[in-house]
Amino acid sequence: MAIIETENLCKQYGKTQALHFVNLKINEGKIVGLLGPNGSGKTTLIKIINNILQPTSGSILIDGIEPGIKSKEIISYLPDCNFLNEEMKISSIINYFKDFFKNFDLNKCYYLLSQMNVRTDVKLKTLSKGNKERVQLALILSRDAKIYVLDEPIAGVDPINRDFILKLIIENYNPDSTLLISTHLIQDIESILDEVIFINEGSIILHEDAEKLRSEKNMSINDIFKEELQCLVNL
Amino acid sequence: MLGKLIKYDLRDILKNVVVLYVIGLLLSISIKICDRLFFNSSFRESFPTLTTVFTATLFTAFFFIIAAINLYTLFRCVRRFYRNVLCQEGYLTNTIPIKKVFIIISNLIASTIVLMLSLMVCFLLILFLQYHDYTVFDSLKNIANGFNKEIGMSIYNFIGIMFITSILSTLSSMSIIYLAFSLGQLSNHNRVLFSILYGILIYIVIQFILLLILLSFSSHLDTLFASWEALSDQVASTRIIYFMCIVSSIINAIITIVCTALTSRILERKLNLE
Repeated sequence: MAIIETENLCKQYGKTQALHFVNLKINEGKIVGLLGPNGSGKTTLIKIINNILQPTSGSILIDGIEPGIKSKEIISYLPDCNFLNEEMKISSIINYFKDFFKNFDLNKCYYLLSQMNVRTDVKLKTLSKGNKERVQLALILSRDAKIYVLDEPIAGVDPINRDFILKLIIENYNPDSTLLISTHLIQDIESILDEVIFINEGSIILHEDAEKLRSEKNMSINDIFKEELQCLVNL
Repeated sequence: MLGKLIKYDLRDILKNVVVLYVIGLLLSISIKICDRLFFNSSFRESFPTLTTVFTATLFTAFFFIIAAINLYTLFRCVRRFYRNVLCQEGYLTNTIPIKKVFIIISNLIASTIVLMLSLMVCFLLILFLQYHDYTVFDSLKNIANGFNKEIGMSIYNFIGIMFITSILSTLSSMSIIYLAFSLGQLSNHNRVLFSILYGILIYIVIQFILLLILLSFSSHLDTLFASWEALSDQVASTRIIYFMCIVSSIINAIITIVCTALTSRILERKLNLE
């Protein structure tokens, strides 16, 4: 069953077409990479999935329902910016999540943060940029969600820590759920993907099983993506 | 959920405001101590310039703190809504499974509570500064008795009705500010500047609508006020106070409901996070 389904989804900002008739079906239990260059429409699509943006036209269903309060209960969302109140202590932020998300596992969050050597009795603003991102990730992964949507989770992370972050995601997300990861750093995450979606200039140019794609073309996902983009440029 | 939202909003708004309350209290205690220790008549006569300058400095600082408490509280209330709902923190606030209208109501309630609290703290600080012996309370008793005699209503009733009117007035002012910021966030640049411009525009529109309503009801109001002329001064004064407060409360309640509904609609349909 499709957990995320869009039909002719369009989003326009003034004269700019951010999404252009996007038709997608993302199934349950998959790790899906939403791959594309900067400004290709990844974040716009993710914002629509999370009910932060409204589409100009077309429709979107999350687990069979339109985005709203019910869909927010089942989506755990990591935006591509610091979305936490820096004045709050980490422990207060954890309590905030516990108060507002029924599926939040307090003990798991404390466990993850202890694994990452992040103190919880300090204010968020005292942490380094890397540790702030770890706190955000720990909070998101501590929810027992049906869908995890991670927008550029490794974009601001140095190459050494990227593997650590990806390992953390893979080991801690609910394996029965769907994991949608958007990134422009394709080669760093391609090994963990079940499916790939290539997006460019607001249009889906390819949606395929990652393994099938690799074996058919005998190339890495990163190289296939470059090739697809080059074909579009030549057209 | 609403209770939890209010709890977090209150905590955030109150965070630094409480520091100002404490500074205000310490300052008023300092003034009292200085008054007792140094500013007796013999010290004042020996060092007239020093006592004058010192007294003036302390009182200036005190009144700056009084002004700062109210202005900073207002700043914190506006900042809380702007940062928590419309800036990066909005990515969390707008994805918690709760209706947008509750987020706005929570901010409205928390802001109103803290703004009213700041007003009361300022009143108590001034009262504390004025307290020498029981004369200030005697003066208050005299005012209450005089009020009862002249206006014909109990001072407690008057304070009660003014309190309710003030709450509704604060709610409507904050809801206008939230609407202005919700409209301002539609712009991709200079959001705060646009918010201020929208705030001014909304204020002008509301005043214009109220003027039209007042003009259309002017003949009815004339008849009403004329009918009160036959009454005693006390009864007429009481009626005027009740009438003004009730009309003001109704208008403020309508403004609050309309602005909150519009803000909620904008946040649901046109949210434009940074």
